[in-house]
Amino acid sequence: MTSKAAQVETIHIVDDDLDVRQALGSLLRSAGLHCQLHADSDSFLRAYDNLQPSCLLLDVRLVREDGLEVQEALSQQKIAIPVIIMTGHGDINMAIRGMKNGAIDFLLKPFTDEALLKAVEQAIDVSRSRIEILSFREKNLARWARLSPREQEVLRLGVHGLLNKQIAASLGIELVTVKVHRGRALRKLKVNTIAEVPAILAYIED
Amino acid sequence: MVHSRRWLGISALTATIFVLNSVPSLHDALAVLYLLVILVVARSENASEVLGIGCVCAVLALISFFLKHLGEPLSGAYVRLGVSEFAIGVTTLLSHREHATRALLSEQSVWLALTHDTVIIRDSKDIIIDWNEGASKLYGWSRAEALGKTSASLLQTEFHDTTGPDLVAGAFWEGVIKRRKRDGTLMTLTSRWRGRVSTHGGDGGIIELSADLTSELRARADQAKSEQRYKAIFDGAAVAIFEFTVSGTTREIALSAYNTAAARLFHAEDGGSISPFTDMKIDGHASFRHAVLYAVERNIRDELQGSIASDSSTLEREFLITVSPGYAFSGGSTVLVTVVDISEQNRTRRRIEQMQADLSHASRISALGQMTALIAHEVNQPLMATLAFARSGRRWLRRETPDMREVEMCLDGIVETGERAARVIEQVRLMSRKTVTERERLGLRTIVNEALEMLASECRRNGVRVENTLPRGAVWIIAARTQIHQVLVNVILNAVQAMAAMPAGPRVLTLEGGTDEARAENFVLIKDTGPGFAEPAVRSSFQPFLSSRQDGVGLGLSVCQTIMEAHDGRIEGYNLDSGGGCIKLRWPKA
Repeated sequence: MTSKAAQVETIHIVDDDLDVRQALGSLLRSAGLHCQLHADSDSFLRAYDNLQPSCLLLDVRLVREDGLEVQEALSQQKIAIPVIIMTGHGDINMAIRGMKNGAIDFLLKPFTDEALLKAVEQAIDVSRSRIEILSFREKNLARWARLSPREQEVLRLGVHGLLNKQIAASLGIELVTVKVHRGRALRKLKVNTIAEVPAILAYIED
Repeated sequence: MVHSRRWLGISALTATIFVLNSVPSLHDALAVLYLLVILVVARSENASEVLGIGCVCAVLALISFFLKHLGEPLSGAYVRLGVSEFAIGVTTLLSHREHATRALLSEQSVWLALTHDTVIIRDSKDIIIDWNEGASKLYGWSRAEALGKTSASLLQTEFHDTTGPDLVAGAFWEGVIKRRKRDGTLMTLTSRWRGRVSTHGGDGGIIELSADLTSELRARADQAKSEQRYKAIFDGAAVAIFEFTVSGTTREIALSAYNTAAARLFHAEDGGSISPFTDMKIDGHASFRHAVLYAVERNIRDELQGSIASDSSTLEREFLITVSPGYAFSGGSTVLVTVVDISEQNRTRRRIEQMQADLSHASRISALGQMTALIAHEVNQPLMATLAFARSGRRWLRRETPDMREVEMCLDGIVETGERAARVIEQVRLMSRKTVTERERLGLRTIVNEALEMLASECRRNGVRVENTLPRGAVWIIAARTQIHQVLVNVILNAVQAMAAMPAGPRVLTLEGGTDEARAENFVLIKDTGPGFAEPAVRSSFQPFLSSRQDGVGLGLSVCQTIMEAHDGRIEGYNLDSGGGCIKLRWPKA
C-alpha cells in the first residue's frame, strides 16, 4: 500500500463512541494503516488534506449530527474523499441514500476485520487515483497557462482537425507563423504530437 | 184573608140570587144571574172551583124551581128552567176552558222568564216590549231600562253575513249575530227569531231567543288550534311516530295513525302499505306486538332497540324504539310508538371505540419499539467495540513479530467495553423493576371487571357473551394494578380473537376464580370456546417474539409471564375437554 513513499494514506474515523473509535484504530493499525480518530465532522475537516490519499469511516449515528448529512455536505463542498458508512441498524433505505451520495461501501456493525480492511483498501485506491487525476490536471493546467493566447488559439483549431494552411487562413496570419506557434506550444505542454492535446484539454476544461 | 172575604162575597151573592129566584112573585129568569157568580169565580186560579160553582148554581136553580113550581103541569116555567140550566152549564164549561188556557200561558211566561236564554219580544217598530231575566243577565240592561227602547239602539246588532231577516208573521229565522253588552264588549250569539202575529192580525214584531256563543266559540277555536298544532308536530316530526289502539278486552292492537316520517321509514311515502307488526324486530321481545303489550300492561314507557326486516338499505340500520302508553278510552287505550334511526350514532361510536383500541395498541407497540431500539443501540455500541478489539488483538498476535503492547491495549479494550455492555443491561433491569414496586390490595373480581370494561366493545363487536362467575369481594391479591390489567387484557383479548377466528358456534368467555386453600393460592380461569391451543403452541405461546397472529407482536403472553413471575405468580395455558382454551393465572394467597 505504501507504494509511493511521499504519500501517506490516512484513514479518518468519525464515530462519537470513544470505545468504537479506539477499537477500530487499533484494528487498522494492526494492518499497518495510519489513522486519525475524530468524535465529530469538524475535527475531521480540520485534519483533512486533499492531496494525501485518504478515506473516511463515518458512523451514521453521531451525537449531534447525522452521518448521511455529513456525507452530503462533503460532496456539496466538493471534498472528494471516499466515504465508508458504518451503522448499527440494517436500514436498507439508509444504505441506498449513502450509496447514491457516492459512498464506497456500507458496513453493518459489528463487522469483521476482513470486511473493514477490504473496504478501506478499495477506498484508498479510489483516493489515490483521484489524486493522480488531480495532480495530472493541475500539472497540465499550469503548462497550459504558460501558452500565449495565440498559441492556445492555434492548438484549439488544430485539435478540431484544421490543417496549418486552414488555421493560417482563419486567423489571417502566415503559414510559417502558424508552424512556429504550434511547435512552441507543443514544447511548452511537453507533448510530442497534437494527438495528445485533446486529453489534456478534457482534464483542464471541465 | 182576601181569599175568605172573596168567598164570603161569592156566597152572599149566590144566596141573594137563590132567595130572589125562590120568591114566587119574581120571574124565573132571575136564575140567569147565577152566570155572574160563575164569571166571578172563573177569574180565580183553580179550574176545579169553576166546575164546582157551576154545579152548585145549577142545583140551586133547580131547587128554586121546585119550590115555586112543584106539582104544576108542564108549562113555560119548565122551558125557562131548561134555558137557565143550559146557560149555567155552557158558561161553566167555557169559563173552565178559558181558565186552563190562561194557566198554561202564565206557566210559559214563568218558564221563559227563568230560562238562561235571552227572550226579547219586539213590536213591528223594533220597540222592546218584553225582556226576560236571561236578557238582563246577558246584556247588562235591566228589564225596566230595556223596555220601550229599540233593540237596534240598545244592542247594536250586527249580522254575520246578511242585513237581518225581514220576518213576516209566523216565519222563522236562525243564525249567528254579534251584539254589544252594556259595557261595550262585543259578543257572538246564536239567535232564533219568529215573526209574531199581532192581536189585530197584522205584523206583530219579533220574539227572539239568543244564547252567548263567544266562550263556546273560543273554546272550540282553542281546541282546533291545539289539534292543528298536534297535527303539525305529528306530521312534521323527523321522528317516525305510530299511534296504535289496544282493545281492552281482546288485547287486539291496530294501527290507527302514523306520520310522514313513519311512512318514509317503510318506504311507503306514496301511500304504500305499512306493516310494523311483521317487519319490526325488537331486541329482547318475541314480536313487536309483544313489546307493545308489555309496555301497555305495565303502563311503562319502554325504550328498546330493534331493526326493520323490510329495510332495503345496504347498511344494516338500528333503531331506538320508544313505546309509551297514551290515553285510555272506553274499550281500550292508545299507545304511541316512536322510531329513531340510530345506526349512524352507533356506527360512529363503534368507529371511535375501534380507533381508541387501535391507538392504544399502536402506542403500546411504538413504545415497545422505541424501547427495543434504544436498548439495541446501547448494547450494540460496546459489543461492536469488543469485537473490533478482539479482532485487532488477534491480528497483532499473528504478525511476524507480535506487538504485545498493542495486544494488551486490545485486551483492556475488550474488558472495558464488556463491562460497559453489562452496565447497560443492569440499568434496563433496574428501570423495569422500578415500575413493579407500586403494589396495592386489589379485589380479584373488581380488577377482572375493569379489564372486561376495557374490552367491552371488542367483545360486543365479535359477538362474544361474557359470563363472570367470580365471587364478589372475598378474594384479594397484592399486585400492581396496571400490570395485572395488562395481563388480563392480553389474555382476554387472545381468547376473544381466537373465538372471532372461528366461523360459527357460540362465543362464550367464562371467567371463574377463587381461592385454592390447599395450595394457598388465588386464581382466575379465563375460558373460551375457541379452537384451543395447538399442542406445540401451548409451550411456544409464552416464548417471546412468536405470534400466531399476523398483526401480533409476539410479546403478549411472554410479557404476561414476566409480570406474573414478578408477582410470584404463574400463568398456565391448557385445553379444555369441551374444546376451547383456558388460561389460569395464579397468585399466592394475600
